[in-house]
Amino acid sequence: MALMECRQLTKYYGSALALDRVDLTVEPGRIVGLLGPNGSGKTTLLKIANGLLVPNAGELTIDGMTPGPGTKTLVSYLPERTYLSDWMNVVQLLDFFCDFYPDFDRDAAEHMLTALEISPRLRIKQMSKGTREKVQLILVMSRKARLYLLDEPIGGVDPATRDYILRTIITNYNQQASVVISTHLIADVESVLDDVIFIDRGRVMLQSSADQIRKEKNCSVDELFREVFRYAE
Amino acid sequence: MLSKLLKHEFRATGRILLPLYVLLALSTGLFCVTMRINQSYDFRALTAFRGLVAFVFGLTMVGAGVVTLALMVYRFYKNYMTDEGYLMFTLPVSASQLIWSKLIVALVWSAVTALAVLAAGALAVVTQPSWAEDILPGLRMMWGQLFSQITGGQLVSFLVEFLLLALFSALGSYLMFYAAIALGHSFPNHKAFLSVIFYLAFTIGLQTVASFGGVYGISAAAEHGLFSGDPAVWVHSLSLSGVAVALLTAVVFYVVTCFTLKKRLNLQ
Repeated sequence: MALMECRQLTKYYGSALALDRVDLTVEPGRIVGLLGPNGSGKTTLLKIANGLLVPNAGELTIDGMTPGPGTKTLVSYLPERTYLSDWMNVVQLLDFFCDFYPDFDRDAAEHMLTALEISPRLRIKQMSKGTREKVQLILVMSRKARLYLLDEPIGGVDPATRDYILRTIITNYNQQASVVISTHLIADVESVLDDVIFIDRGRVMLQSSADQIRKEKNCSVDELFREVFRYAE
Repeated sequence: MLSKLLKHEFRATGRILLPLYVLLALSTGLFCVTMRINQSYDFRALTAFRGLVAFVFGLTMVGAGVVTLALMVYRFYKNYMTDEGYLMFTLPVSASQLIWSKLIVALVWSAVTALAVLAAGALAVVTQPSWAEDILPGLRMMWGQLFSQITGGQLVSFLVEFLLLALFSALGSYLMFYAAIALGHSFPNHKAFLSVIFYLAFTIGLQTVASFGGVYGISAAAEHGLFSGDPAVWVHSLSLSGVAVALLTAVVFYVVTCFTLKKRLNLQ
């Protein structure tokens, strides 16, 4: 059974169509790249999967359930913005995640924080933007979730941090779980992807395994992406 | 999960309100001491200082109430409708638990603030030099007159009705803010502006219903001879009607808020 499934999922913002009858599946144990240019509907899809938006038509299910308290115990979500209260310090954030998520591994989180030399007493408001993003990623990846939905986890960070983030994702996720990484920086994530979904103007253009693309199209995912999304000259 | 939400909400709000209560206690203490000193030494500087202390004392009394109300409304907006909402709405909790956590904390802090302000006011009066000679005998006379009109049992039922009215009115007031904010933010644009518009519309709507309902209700009651009987009976009837209206208002705004957060959440 698919871990996440969309059937004819449609979402409008006013009169603008953000998702157009999207059908897709995410199988367990896969790292999936949700790839598309800016404004293609990636964030909208992930927000619907987390119950932050309600679709106009169609259905999205996670482990057979529509988004709600039941699916939120299964999903660990990294949004494209900082959602942490700026008055809280790192210890208070760890307490918060421990309280609400039984699958939160505090030891793993503390280990990663120590590796990055982030003080437990540091408040969010005292951190740089990059440090906030690292703390948020550590909190999200320290859960033993069934599905990780990561929205632009490497956007806007330096190459060294980018490497650290990808390493963190690969080494921390449970092998039975799935990871969906939404990004337009294909070259950086290509090496870790099992499957790819190309999305453009709210429509799924392609869903395939990364190996199949390399074998059948005889090119990398990044090259295919550039080919599919090339603007008319 | 509600208890965990409450724990974190008390932590988030207590860090602002507890120092405010300390400030209120300090200004009350300073006010009481200054009032007594002034009886012995009559200097101009001291008189000016006394005026300043009285101003600060009044300001902290009013400020405690305003800050409590503003903070409770702001917490709902900030924690649920801004970026922080991305965390709160992805917790494994229901929309009703999210609403109740804010509501219970708002009611508790409102009660604590009300008691703190009342205690500060009472202390300021009791420590006045004129307390024993002028104020206390007046209060005793008022208390005696009150008990000559009503029995102890009636006083208890009036007290219960007053507390219920205060509870449901406070619930309705906070839920009206929550409903307006939730509805305003369910639209794609002009969210803050629409929240204000919804709040104004709710206020005008309630006033209209209250005015017409009050006039027609009292007229109907008068026609049935309610006001010609025992005053205690019609006072009870009026206060129980008030309790029922306050409860109904709270329920309506709760349903609107819950439905909006469940079905029309639109975090940008």
